[in-house]
Amino acid sequence: MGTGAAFLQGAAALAAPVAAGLLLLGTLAGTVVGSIPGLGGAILLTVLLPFLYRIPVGPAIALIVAAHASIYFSGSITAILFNSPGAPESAATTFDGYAMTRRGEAGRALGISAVATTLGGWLGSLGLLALIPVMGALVLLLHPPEYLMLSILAVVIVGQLRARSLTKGVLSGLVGFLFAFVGYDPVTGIQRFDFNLLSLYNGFNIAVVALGLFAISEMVRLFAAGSGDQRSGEATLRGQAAKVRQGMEDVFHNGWLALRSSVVGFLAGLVPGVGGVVGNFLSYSLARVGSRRREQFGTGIPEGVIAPESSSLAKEAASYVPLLALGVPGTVGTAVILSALTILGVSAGPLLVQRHLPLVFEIVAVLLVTSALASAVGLLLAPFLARVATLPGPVIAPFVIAVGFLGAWAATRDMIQVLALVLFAAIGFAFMRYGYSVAASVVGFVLGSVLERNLYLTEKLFGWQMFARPITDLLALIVVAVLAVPPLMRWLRRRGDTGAGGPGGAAARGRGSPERPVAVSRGERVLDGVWVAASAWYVWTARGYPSAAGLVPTVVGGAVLAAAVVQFLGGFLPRLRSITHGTGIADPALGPAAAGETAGVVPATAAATAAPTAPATAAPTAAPTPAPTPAPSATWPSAHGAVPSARRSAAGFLVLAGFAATVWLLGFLVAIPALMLVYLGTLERRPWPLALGAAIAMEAFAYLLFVRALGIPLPPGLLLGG
Amino acid sequence: MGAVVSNGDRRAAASAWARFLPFRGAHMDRGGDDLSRKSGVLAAILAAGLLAAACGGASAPQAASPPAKTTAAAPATSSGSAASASTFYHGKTVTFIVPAGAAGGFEAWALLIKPYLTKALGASAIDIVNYPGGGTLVGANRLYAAKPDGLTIGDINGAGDVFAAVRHQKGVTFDLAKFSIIGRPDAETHVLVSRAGTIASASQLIGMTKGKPVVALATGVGSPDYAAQVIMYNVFGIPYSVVADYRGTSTELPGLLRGDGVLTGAGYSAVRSLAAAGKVDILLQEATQPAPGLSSVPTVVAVGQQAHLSAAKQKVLNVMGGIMSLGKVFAAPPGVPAARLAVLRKAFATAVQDPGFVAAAKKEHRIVSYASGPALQATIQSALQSGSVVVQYSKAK
Repeated sequence: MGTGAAFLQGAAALAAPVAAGLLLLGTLAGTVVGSIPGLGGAILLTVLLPFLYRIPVGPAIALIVAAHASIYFSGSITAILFNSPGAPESAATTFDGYAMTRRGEAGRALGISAVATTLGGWLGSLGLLALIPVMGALVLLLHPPEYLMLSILAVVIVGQLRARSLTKGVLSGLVGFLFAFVGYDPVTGIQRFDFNLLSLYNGFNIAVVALGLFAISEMVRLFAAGSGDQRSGEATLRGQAAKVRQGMEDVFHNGWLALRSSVVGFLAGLVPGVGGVVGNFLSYSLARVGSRRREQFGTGIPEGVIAPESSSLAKEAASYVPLLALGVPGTVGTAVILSALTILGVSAGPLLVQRHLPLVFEIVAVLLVTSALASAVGLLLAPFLARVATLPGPVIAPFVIAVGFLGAWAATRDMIQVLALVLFAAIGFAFMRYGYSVAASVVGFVLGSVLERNLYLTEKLFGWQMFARPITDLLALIVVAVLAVPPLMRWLRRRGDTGAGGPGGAAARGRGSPERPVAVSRGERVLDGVWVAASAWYVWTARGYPSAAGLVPTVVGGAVLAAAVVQFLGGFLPRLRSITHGTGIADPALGPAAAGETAGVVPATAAATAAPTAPATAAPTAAPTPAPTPAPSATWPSAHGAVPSARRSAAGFLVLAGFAATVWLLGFLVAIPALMLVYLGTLERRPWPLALGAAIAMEAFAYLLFVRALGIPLPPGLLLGG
Repeated sequence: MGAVVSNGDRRAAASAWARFLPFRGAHMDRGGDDLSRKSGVLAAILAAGLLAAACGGASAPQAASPPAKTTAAAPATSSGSAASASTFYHGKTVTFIVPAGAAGGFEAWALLIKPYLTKALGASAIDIVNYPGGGTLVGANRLYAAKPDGLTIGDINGAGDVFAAVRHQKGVTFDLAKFSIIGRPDAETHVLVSRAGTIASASQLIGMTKGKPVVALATGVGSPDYAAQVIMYNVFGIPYSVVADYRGTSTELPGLLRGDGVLTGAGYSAVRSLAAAGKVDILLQEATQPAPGLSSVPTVVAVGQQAHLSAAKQKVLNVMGGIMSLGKVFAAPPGVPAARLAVLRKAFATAVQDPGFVAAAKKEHRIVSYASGPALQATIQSALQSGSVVVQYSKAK
């Protein structure tokens, strides 16, 4: 069969009414379920698998691929509205998307997301189409040393993207690695750090880690910040619709950025097991490096949403390449697609392209159509969704917490894992409070096993010969550069200032004055101490395992310990603080608010690159950029709203722990209405009918969606279950 | 097997969570008339979501049936007679533990048999739960610790669990001999494959007793494919080094193709397409009998005869081939009332002989090879007993 005929046959398969209907159904299901954190990806797709037995191949492909492709836009919706990425790889969208929501621009961010996702999906599908002839060779291009370096690079880049200081960025990523090593080591068969809990044999679940670090911690913060955290924004639907349109136009005004980001996401997505996770982060970080407004990334600017969203579907389309070429899935989503193909009697792998070319074209066609359809569905809902974001933060919290716990249950079916949400929420809260990067932790968590496996593989297959490989060297060089260049630039700048004097504002930057050490709070000193103690314990424990199981945890734990000691010392040695606790550069370019803040103004890399080399040019370069918020800080407190009081924070965690305990003892269907009533009625003092209505609505939601539609039984609780 | 978990709390808790909750009164939100304007929006969105989700799931068998109401019923009263056991499953939800992640062979077989087993039992639904990890040990541990009321079953990894048991692998908290065995549907043949252009045949392989070690790949020392490879290379006296650092077939096969090593072991279904495309060569079947449709590839036992191995070594290959052919063992926890186990076994036999099941399996290129519960139980017992002969050969050099 000629390629043209195969293409026509593949496209025609979609024209059949059944296929078109199932494509629409898949899109709707993906959109709804993808917006529930923890449920996206594998769970929805596996729920759909049993239906495939009764459907012919063509329509079945339409259903399952459409569901897969439509998860990502709705996952972005929750990332934008609730800081709760539907899947960890969508976390980059929270950086500016959620910041836009907090500024009352949720509609605009949703508009951007819809259009950018579509464009990325289209480009990705076309890329997939173009690569079909050479797919197999591409997948085999990279070897273990490159995977090793890529996983390190990803964690380093994402860490430096958001954290307030060099060491905080490094620690954020490495701690993700440490959590990834919990559980059964597939290579040696040893259980590590599992406290003899059956539930931890397989380690922590990614949905639990991501939900706890991002969503639940942010909900506690919203509660703790109280009504002081009132969101602004257009309350009318018409106003929101206009904002959505504005967002859509934003993408076209930044067409080149969208195109670039799609290509970056696509290329990343070709790397199985790594690219899917880091694609969006990579697009975000490259967009920032290449932007003239780079210091405003993280404050809620359209470019910060366009970049990761353009990459979102492009990387997913790319993840079909290893699947179709070799029959090996690179992501959880494509693993389920592989199952689907098997159920349909089609073997993925080299034969697929040879024998079922029309099917390959159909997959591409479904991706093309769904990219647009999912966004169209999302856009119809966007003005309504954006209005949700105008609700006061504290009112949203119990809903997101309840859905988050349900999602964690659905993903793990294990109560200990569900309870671990509280642990990760606490870590996420502390991280946000003190300028660490939760995104880096999640990426580290996902890539931990990639790092470990490929470190062993590299050692066995290459040894030091790994550095004879140019791609490895290049990646290693980038890692060093990302870490070393910003402090080096700062040091050079300081030398330049003290030496030459220079014109204009240089006088103000004289010895001692530009970089005054930031103050370190007592809470932060405690956290620094916890770092040292916890990592020392970790290393001590890891050393007790046989070498093949203990080596990598020992090495990574040792790195954390070293960084933690530096971090701890930074609390007492002001000279270290520029790398441990951020810089308080008195830089006029960054505005008076920033100069006065104890917080680092921008992440370390940006601080160095963004700071003007000649102070005289500082004011002019900064002036044209309209500063939407007074302080262009990427980290809490300023970008994240008011700093919550310690008392309300403690109360927030008490409520969370109480809810978790109720779920454990009395089950979801008791705990959820109780949370709504107690939280909304008693704590928030909303009218009782409202609290009651919310309780009933959430109960119905939990029962109808989880128990009935998805067939996931909810546990009755330890006391009621007997 | 000293490490049997008898932690009553854990078992009770795990099974309590795994079971279905009798629903206590359906609350339907009628649109939230009395809610404030803003939360009305929220409620409307939730309702829209529900509606869509309900539509999506409306045709699901489990959605169409009423939720189980009586799972909490005390089993003691109804476990006595066969008559009451035969109706025991009616309207109940059975939890099915899959000892691996979503997608993959273990879930595939569970999904395949689900509708037919549901029908044969008269159950309202079978709820498939994935407990991945530890090769397949986590799921087996879970199943072993579940409440033995016959409402929790699973498909455990015959070969992996026997090897884990005879090698006294860490992390095993079950006693394989004590499971209530229901039966086996399949015969997934495991094969030894080489990268195309390296080692063309089994004859060539067994001649490689001198010279540089061959590099073999495996997915961790706990996997049966690792154990089988090590045993074979040791028995045939082939110098080798094994790189066992892959997480699963999806990283191992690209590793083989890009040249990390030249040999690996895998389930036939995982390499079928690659072999047909000429990217890998299938050298031998790790089985005592050739699989249907794979008669051109010698079994490891035949290769052992060809190599004129000693009787003792041929026995090792025989035992290894037997263990590797155990397939997916459908089982329930130890101590399920005999009458209920009988019902489960009968329903299982009915399900795997259902023409619909046979047709669906054929479409997926899965080989149905039914073994009854008692027969399989005997096979596993003898594998556990004779398994010790392979232990001395299963140490990697």
